Parts: sequence; structure tokens; C-alpha cells
Amino acid sequence: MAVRGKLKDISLASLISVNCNEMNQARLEVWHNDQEAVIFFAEGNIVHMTLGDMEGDEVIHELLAWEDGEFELEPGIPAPRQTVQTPWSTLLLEGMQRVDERSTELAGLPEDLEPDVPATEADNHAARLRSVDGVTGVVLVARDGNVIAAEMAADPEKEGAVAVFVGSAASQIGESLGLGPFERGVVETLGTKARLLIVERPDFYVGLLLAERASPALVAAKIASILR
Amino acid sequence: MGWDMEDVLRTISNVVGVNGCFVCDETGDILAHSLRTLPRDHALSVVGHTAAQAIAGLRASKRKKVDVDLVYTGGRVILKPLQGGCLCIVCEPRISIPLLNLTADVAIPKLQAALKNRPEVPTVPAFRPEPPQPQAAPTSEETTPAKARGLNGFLKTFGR
Repeated sequence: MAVRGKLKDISLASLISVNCNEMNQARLEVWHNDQEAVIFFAEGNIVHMTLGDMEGDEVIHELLAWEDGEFELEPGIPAPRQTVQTPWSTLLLEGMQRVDERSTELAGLPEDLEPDVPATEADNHAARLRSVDGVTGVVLVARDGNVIAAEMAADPEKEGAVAVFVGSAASQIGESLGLGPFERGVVETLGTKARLLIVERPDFYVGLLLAERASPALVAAKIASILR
Repeated sequence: MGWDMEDVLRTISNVVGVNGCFVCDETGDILAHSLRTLPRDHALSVVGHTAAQAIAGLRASKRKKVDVDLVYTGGRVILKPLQGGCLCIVCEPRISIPLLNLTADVAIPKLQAALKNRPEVPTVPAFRPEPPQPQAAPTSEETTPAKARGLNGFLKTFGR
């Protein structure tokens, strides 16, 4: 039985992530303005995509920019042929990076910001991170607890303090257990569904408030690609 | 009904992808554990104390009911606060968190009851490390000593 919905309720990245993680065989049709795209899933990956005359990997770069539209997911439909070989996670990361670069160009923001930067550039950094899908607030905080930049409605001093405190504890726990480098941490306040994603950089921590349906793994990967 | 903490912890350790778990009290001393691949050594005591510090800090920041999920390249650590302590689960990085939570959500009330009913026997602290300290800033001008330096600095940020 087909499932229909709107992209403003569930993002395309989430639809792809769920279908691939659950190893679904399915056809996903997406409509945006007068355009129609079709994605086929099989064995935990995207196997075929079309958008007008376009097909294969390139389609994802267009689709991820669609913030509104409708979709219909039909389980059990096999792909007519295979035009995609790239793993879905790579496709999503590259696609989201491409979308971000495009929006950055439109906003006229610099792309080559370094982590150890003056305050104004750190502010630009925060603005770029804030524009990532699923992020509702950003704080960049030095290891000594000083807030370098923030783009959030909540108190950045407090969110920054939590980011540094949990980040420091995470490093110590990881080191003690030999778990390798710390990738990300999430502090979820039960009941309110508020989530703070913490990402460590060499000179500072990034604290990101997440939207309800945002995937911490996807957001962290996106943030890493921006900060790289 | 009284629950044996180690029996309850064993149900969590049996979840696919879990390498071990333990309960520590508010000071970080380990009260019970079920360790599949983890050694019971000094490192685990450090983790217990650090976890207890982290939970205490989050409580001070008015995040009383929290789950903390720490992901590393080679593993994952989940912290779940209990009244009077903390449950710490060490697992593989790609573990299914919803599946783990199904078991943990059943186990937590039992652990809570066992914690409440435990006799007042002092534990033997194997090691009591310093709370986590952020790295020192490179110059004194860039340093704000009151901020985010272990639990005390953290509490100052929250006016405690």
C-alpha cells in the first residue's frame, strides 16, 4: 500500500535514510512545482533515479534542494534498471554539500573559513552551520568556555557550557575505554524532545540545537564537511 | 519486588552490539556491572566517575531527565541517569538505539528499584580521578577561568 506525504513534514534525506536503512525495495515518486522525480530503492541503497531527462547520481543534487512538494512511496516495486552505483550515504553527503555551496553562493558568504578565525568570520561560520537542514540553533564555544559565535534563540552561554562540559567528559571517557576519536554527542532532554548535538573541533566545540526529526548522524556529517 | 542489579544489567548486555554496561552511584563508584568484552579495570572506574560528573552537571543545568549518546569511531557510550546514580552502556558505534532502548526502558525501573533498596554498604572506590578539565587556552588573555573548567566552572555558568 502506497504512502503519501509532504516534504515539509518529512525531508527527502529522511525518506532516503529510512528506506535504505530498512533495506526496502520500493519506488519513491516526488513532485515539486511541475517537476517529477522517481527514486528506486533495493538492498539498502538507491539503485535508480530519474528527473525529466536526467538520471543517475546527478538527480540527487537537484532533489535535495526541494524543500516543499509531495511524495508517494510504493513498497515492493523493483527498479526497471540500475543507474546508481554510489552508496546512499555518500550520495546524500555530496548532495547536501552541493546544495549548501549553492545556497552559500546565493547568500554571498565566504567558503574558505578557517577554524581559528576572528569573531566576524566565526559569525559567518555560525550562520553557515545554522542554515543546515535540521539545525535550529548554533553556538561555537572555545575549550575555555568562551562563546566565539552564536546563532540561536536560546542562551548561547548555557548551551555552550553544556557543549564544552559534555565534550570534555566525552573525550575523557573515550580515551579511558580506547574508543578512538570522539565523533559526536547528543544530549536529549526527555519530555521536551530538545536535543543538543555536540561536535568537537581542534580549537573549539560546536553545539547545535536540532529540529525534532533531524538525524544527528546526518547533521554531524554535514557539519564536518562544512568545517573541513 | 527486589531486583538483582547484575541480572538486570545482563539483559542489557545481551542486546546485540552491547559490549557491557554498569551502574554507578552519584559519586561515580561502580555498584554493579555486566561486562561482555570490557575489562573490569581502572579505566572503567574513570568512566564511572566521569559519567557521574557529566550527569551531575546536566542536572545542574536543569536538564534533569536526559539521555546522553556519545559516538566515537570505535564505539558508543550511552548514559542514562537514575535517581541516585547512572546507567552506562558501552556498545558498538552502529548499534540500533531504538532496539537498545526497548530493553533499557524495561530495565531502568528495575535498576531504580534496586538502587533504592540497596543496603548502605560503602563501596570500595578503586580510583577517583579529577573531573574532566577542558584544555588550557594558549594565552591568559584568551582565558576565562570561571567558565567551563570542570564541574565548578560549569556550575558558575548556571549561577550555582
